[in-house]
Amino acid sequence: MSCPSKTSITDTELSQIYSSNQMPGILPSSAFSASDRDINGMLKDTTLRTIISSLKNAGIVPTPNLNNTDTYLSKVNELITNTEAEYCFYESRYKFSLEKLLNVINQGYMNNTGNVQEIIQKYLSSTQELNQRLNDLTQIINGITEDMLSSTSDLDKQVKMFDDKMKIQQQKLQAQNKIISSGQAVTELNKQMVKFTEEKAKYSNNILGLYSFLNIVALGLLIYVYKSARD
Amino acid sequence: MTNLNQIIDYTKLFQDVELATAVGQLKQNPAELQQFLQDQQGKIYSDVTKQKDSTFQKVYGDLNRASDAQKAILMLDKRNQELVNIQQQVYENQEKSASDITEDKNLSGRKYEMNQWSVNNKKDTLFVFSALFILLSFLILLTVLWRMGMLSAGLSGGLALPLIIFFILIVIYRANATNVWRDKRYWNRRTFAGKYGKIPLPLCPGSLSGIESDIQSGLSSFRQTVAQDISSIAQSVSTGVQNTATSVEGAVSPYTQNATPASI
Repeated sequence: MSCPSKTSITDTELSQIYSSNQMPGILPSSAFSASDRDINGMLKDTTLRTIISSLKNAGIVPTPNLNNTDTYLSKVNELITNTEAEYCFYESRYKFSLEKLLNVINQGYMNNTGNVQEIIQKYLSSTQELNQRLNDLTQIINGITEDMLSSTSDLDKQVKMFDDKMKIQQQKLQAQNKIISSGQAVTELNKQMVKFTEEKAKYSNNILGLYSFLNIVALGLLIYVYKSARD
Repeated sequence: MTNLNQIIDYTKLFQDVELATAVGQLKQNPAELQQFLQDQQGKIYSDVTKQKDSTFQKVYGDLNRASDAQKAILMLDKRNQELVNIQQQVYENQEKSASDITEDKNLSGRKYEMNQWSVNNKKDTLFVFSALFILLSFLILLTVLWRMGMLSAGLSGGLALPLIIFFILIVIYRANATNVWRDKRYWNRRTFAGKYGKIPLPLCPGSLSGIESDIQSGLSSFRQTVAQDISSIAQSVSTGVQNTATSVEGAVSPYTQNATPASI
């Protein structure tokens, strides 16, 4: 990553606040108060957590969403691009201000007047302010990175959970496969048994028919013999 | 220690004096002073911006790497989810096949049972038919013999009657067996249809102490039922004997009234 080379900036642009059409900047428009900083002028951990939380709520820092991965990834890419743009925005102003400051100091060595002191003071304060902005931005980016890594570990847990789920389903599939493979043999055997009983039933039907016929014949014969005996 | 501090202070002072002397000398030569200041300015500027750039490069690189790691995990997660879904589909399909097979197995098992019952029932009917055929054959034989005059009508009737009764008993027994006490599912199983009641069983291991009394009560009820049955059978037998005696007495009385008792 490298910021584009310094463009021409005017003094009025030094105090500008970054804003993009696509996404608002990570840094707030107003500077952080002294209570948000430690003795070295760096942002406190609690302040950082609050900032990241508010950025998440505002949707500037996306939260991982398993159901809509593509949207999440595009938002992350947008955040990265936007962060770079924001850094470059302040960096160009910082470099401009620093150069101006050094030039004025240089000039002061050559021709020290009351006006020079005033200009030095002006550029010094703008340089300090921009330096602090860049430091804040760096700290917040670092915080976002840490937050991403912590959510990655959460995702890792979810991946493990899915792995376990897959293992359980695999075991179920194996059990079912066993049922299917063993059940097919039993079903085939049962079908053969049913066929066998059907053949037995057919045979019994034939014998029943034969006996029915024989009984009718015998009954008829009995009646005939009995009647002929009476005659 | 004090000497050392003094030495440091002196050294600083000398350096400042030397610097002021050098600057004073440079001021006498503005072009040189200008060059010197520009060099210093360039050095400071490049040092500061380089430091800033390297810090941001590090932080920005970390952010990119974290997002890449997260992207990789997310893709893995997504792939896992897809795999789980595919596996779920396979599982559902296979579950259907398994349930179909189980259903087929149960159905064919039940069909086999029904066929077995039906075949055995037919065999039973076949037995009755064959018995009827034997009876009829025997009756034809008796009729032929009676017609040929080899047997008297009474003897023929006397021989035929037990056979007919035996056949009727067979039919009644078989009908009773099939309709009343044979199990409707398994041919070889007999049902008692709660004739003697059920022996109560304990519902849980904790009530094992009550088993003995339950068995005792079951046994006593069983004994009572059996005793009632026996007494009713005995009563019916005595009634039957009494009736037989009365009928025998009735049949014999005409002869006894005319006859003189020999012994008396």
